[in-house]
Amino acid sequence: MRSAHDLLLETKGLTRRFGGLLAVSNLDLDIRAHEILGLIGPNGAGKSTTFNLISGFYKPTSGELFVFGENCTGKSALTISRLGLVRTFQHGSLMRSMTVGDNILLGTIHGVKGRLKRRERVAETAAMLGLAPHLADEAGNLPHGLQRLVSIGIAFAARPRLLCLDEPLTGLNQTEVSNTLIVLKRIRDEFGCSVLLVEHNMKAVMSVCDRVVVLHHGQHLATGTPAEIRTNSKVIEAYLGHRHEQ
Amino acid sequence: MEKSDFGKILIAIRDNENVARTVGLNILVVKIVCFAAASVAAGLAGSLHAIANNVISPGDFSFLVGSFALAYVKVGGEDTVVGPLVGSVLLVILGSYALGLGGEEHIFYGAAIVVAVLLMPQGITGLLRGKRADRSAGAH
Repeated sequence: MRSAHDLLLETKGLTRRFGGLLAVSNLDLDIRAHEILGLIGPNGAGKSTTFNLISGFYKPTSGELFVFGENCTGKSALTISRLGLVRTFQHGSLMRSMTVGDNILLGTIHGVKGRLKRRERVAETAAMLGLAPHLADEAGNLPHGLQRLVSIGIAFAARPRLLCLDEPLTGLNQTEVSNTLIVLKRIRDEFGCSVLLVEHNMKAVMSVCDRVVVLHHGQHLATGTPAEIRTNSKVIEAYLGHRHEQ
Repeated sequence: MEKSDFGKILIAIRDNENVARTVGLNILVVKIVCFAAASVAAGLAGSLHAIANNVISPGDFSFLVGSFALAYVKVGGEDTVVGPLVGSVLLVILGSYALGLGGEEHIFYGAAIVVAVLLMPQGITGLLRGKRADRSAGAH
């Protein structure tokens, strides 16, 4: 049923070793068009390493990486980002000393030519994220929740085909979480952009993701819809531990 | 400079280089351009120095000259274009007074760097800007 064009990202046997530690082992992952894919796993499961591998910040020890059908194994972060895979970082991926408007503008510099078009892109992005009233504010002075949105804004201003978010909900309150989830759905539905979401907030992941991939000790544990994952005995075991028989 | 795209990319590299890279900006090229521009300025200054003095010797380009330049930038403030200008004017004036202290006047520049780093990490311009921001915040 699926054509090759529906696969935005594909990894084949992706492996990354740090000395004696096998951080990611033989991972097969695929991200399809128009989906929000959750990547979860207990601490140390290899989520961040996977993230760095697919965005080109780490080179794989072995295995292959295909981004939008192109073989990107060993390609630089710059090359991959220019193909349309844009990522954010766990801790503050924004420029604290710049205004919100300039932050978002950074995302448009490479892809959008012309001052007017850029300004339109910035305005559109800010409106979508609810940042329009804060465009002239210095980003470092904003409350934490808005700073998180600015990080997404910089990335989304580049209008990626695949947006990879590294724990975008950390430290947000309930209202901010649900706002961000609405934004993610709009990014998927209105712009046809797929989202890879690495997140510890299970409730949020389960409510927004189309599919969820679970990693454990650097290995693929399960893939499925949120409902399938919730009842998967291997996943429950990984998170809660073995049941000890008396 | 600070308003242009190039200036914004420079600030982005200072604040968060990785983010700049993830939105397709070629950080390596920008850095090479910066080093080249800085080298052009330094080369030009060196040539002018030779013209002005009619004679040049290795002593004119000693480690001390480099530390003077560092002191200008640190005292003036490195975040803005005017910072180093302010710093160099101020330190050259004060430095001429320090000449009266005798042979060890170079200590003055070292002290200036230490004081600047400890008491005003963003330099004089940063200090002034902070004051102005406080005042406008107080007016609200």
